[in-house]
Amino acid sequence: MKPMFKYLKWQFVEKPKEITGAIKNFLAFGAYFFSLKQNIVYLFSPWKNITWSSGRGFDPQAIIESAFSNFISRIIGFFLRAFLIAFCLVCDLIVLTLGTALLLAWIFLPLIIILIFASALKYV
Amino acid sequence: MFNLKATGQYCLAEKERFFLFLKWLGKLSFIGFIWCLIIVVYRYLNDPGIVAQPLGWGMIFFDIFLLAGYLNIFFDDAKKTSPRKSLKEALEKELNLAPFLNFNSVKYIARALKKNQAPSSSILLYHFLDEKNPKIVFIFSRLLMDIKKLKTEVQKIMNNGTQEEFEKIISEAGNIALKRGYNLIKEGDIISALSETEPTLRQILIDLELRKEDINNLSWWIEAANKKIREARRFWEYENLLRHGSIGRDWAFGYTVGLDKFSIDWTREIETRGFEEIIGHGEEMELAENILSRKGPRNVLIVGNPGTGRNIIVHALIKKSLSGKSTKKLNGKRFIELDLVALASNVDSLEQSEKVIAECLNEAGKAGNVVLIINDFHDFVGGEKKAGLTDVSSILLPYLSNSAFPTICITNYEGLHKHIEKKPELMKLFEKVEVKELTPEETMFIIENKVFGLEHEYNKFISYPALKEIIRLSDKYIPYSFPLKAITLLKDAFAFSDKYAGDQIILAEHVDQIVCAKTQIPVGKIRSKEKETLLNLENILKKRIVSQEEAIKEISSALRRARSGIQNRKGPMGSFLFLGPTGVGKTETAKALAEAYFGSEERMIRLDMSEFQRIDDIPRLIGGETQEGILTTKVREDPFSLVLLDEIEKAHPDILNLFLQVLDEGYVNDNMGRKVNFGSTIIIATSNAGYQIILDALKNKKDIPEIKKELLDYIFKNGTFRPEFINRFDGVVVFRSLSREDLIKITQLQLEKMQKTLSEKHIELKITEELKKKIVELSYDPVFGAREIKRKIQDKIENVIARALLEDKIKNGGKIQIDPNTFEIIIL
Repeated sequence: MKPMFKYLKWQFVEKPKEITGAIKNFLAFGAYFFSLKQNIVYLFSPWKNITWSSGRGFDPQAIIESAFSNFISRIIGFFLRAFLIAFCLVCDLIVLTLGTALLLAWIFLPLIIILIFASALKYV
Repeated sequence: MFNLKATGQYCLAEKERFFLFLKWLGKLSFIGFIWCLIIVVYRYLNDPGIVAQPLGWGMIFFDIFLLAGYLNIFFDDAKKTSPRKSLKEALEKELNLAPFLNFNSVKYIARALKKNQAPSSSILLYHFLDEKNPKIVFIFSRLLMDIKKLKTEVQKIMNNGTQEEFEKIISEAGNIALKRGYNLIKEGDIISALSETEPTLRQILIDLELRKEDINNLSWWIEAANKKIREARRFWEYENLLRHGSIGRDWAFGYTVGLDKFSIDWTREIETRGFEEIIGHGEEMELAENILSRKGPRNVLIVGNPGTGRNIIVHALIKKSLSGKSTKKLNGKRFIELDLVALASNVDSLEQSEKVIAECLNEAGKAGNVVLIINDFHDFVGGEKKAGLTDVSSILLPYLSNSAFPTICITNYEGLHKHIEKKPELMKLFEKVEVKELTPEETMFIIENKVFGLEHEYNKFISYPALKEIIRLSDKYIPYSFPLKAITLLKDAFAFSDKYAGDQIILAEHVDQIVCAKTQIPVGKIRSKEKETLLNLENILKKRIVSQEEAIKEISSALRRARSGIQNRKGPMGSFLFLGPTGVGKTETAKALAEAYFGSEERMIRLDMSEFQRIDDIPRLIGGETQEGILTTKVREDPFSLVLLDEIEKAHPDILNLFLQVLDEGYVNDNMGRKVNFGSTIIIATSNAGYQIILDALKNKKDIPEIKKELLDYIFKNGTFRPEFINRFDGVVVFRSLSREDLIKITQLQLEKMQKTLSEKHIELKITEELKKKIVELSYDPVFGAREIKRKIQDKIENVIARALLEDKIKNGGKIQIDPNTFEIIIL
């Protein structure tokens, strides 16, 4: 492979691929760190699986009480999970922004080097 | 045809100096940039109008720094480029192998090719001995070789080679790389290939008792270590990021407050500790994973001998589950080990203990994300009644059958057979995963992984021959399983390094000393002493054994054949069947061999096979439900010994069949399923079957081969032993019956023994010819051989001397003689 072609491939294919891979890893880790998949699957599940039973027999008051308690447990679970999911999305958004900036910086690095040199010459 | 110049790596190698210059330029530019920055700040504070020029220069310096760094990244990445084509295909089709060489190999070969069209192996090695290359330094320093000295030696024999020889080396290096699973030929592969062809290196390796495979191993070791370092540095890799843990994973699962008190959370442990490299046990891990992921009861019983790495299988499962690469049912699960001993020590009564266990199991079931681990499971299912050990089988049974949570129980073969199998209702809920012992090669990889940490901890350096010695000696002399026994010995080598290795380097000799201290086996001298013993075995045995020249010669030759490595064998170090009448020296020869070879008669495990005449006697030999096996226990405890099976013909035929495997494969499984290795033993079976033939032969003055033939015909005809049993022995040795002259020599030996004992009391015993003849005359019986002599000496001489000593008739420093007619003491 000719050196120039090799360089171009490295600059515009291989390295950007590596940077994209790293961004993907961070995004996937964000999802893992904040347990995104589990929190979505169990979004409305009771908090820490804490539930109450109405006991044996028909007791309307106990049924209402346990239903209310279980509802509260689910609400708590929902809010905490929703908060974590939101936080995860924000983090991933930051990663995505910074990652894209890094990727663009890399792609335009040769140009940036030339531009810095050209502007430096004005001062010297 | 090899063509280096057509490769991209060659172009890079040619430009290496330029990139090195760039590296320096980059560093200088950075200093320049910082300097300009200081000037800019200084001028800005004093006179803001004149900052433009230093600012411009600063930007130029920064730009050069940026450019140099950028180009160096390109250079470093270009060096790592792998060829697209397959190395295997190139080797098969004999294509140009130059594109498959890594950067350093190209660089060294290019240097070698500059002055020689076809460099010889010595020229190649000379250029590969680069003291600045850490990989090369690693390989040779582990072998304790001085690169400079080796280079000087190699330089002396540098002459031109042939193109064919050169291409053969590259092709061999290619095969080594392929074996390693790489598509790139690295400098270590070429040094491995050179180790067989380059005369200086080859001779050094022969002297160190090392082979090409050892260089391969060292090369792979450094490559693996470098890969690990490279991977650890790439913090952005998913596996590295996983170490930071996670939050909210168990929010949908129940609390396990009670369980947490009496358990170890292995998922968290491994998450914080980092993922260790798992070597071996792939099949076992996969099987356990499948069982834990299926429908219905998901209970695994991991069975294996202690030290085989049973816990490593669990760690491998956790690693896979944590990284989300396991099955849906296992990913993200918590692997929790129930610490029943800690639990028992925290509660007052058995009832309370059972209550707490039930609560813990209940929590594990309710949580929904727990994989429960119980280590040493046999101890908790009706095993030995010890403090802290509760029988949990009845509490656990409903949870196991309801598949409340997946369970991993760990046990050994003894525990399985003795306790768990006795509870079929429990056993049927488990699927067994048997853990095989790792091979010495796999164990070598494991201990290599542990070396750097230990070297850092103890500030010592361990040589490669010392590591090889650890594997060799632990395999031969340490009874429990790989890899633990080798890891323990490695740790001992570091722990005792101050005592044995005064300097900073741990050598093979130091490992010998440690094993010697641990096992009381003189392994330090064994290699040189073993050679000496084998070469002089005839003379050593002749000192104690009278007359049996043919037998001694046969034993010595067979043992030399067995130990010199010319036979591909798996069985014991040597195995012999001694045939001959009683009292001709069969047992004495075994004792002499034990002393000569193992250093002491004490290292003989003697079994009277007449005690094993019934099939019911097998458990006494290899262990039964209630007893340890006489043979297996002794061999397991003392694997470096001589096993003497006296009167083998009297043993039950099924017991003889048991020995077929021992003689053939070198091991037997005891009743607990433990593999008992006979690889370091010498087995001698004695028999006086057909002794009449030998007695008759003495009268007819037949020679030994003729007697042997007749004897074997007789044995096969009578069905005493089957041919396949006889064929398993390294040698069938016939002991001739003893003549009067032989008995006189034996009497002399016996009396000399007594003389030696008396000399410790400063009493000198004079041995006369008449006395010897009289003893022989009184004890001669061809059927009993020399056995009577000992009795007569005891009866006629020892008794008399003992009485005289007690009566103070013999004074210290006295000189005595025995009257051959009256057997009275004559004070001289």
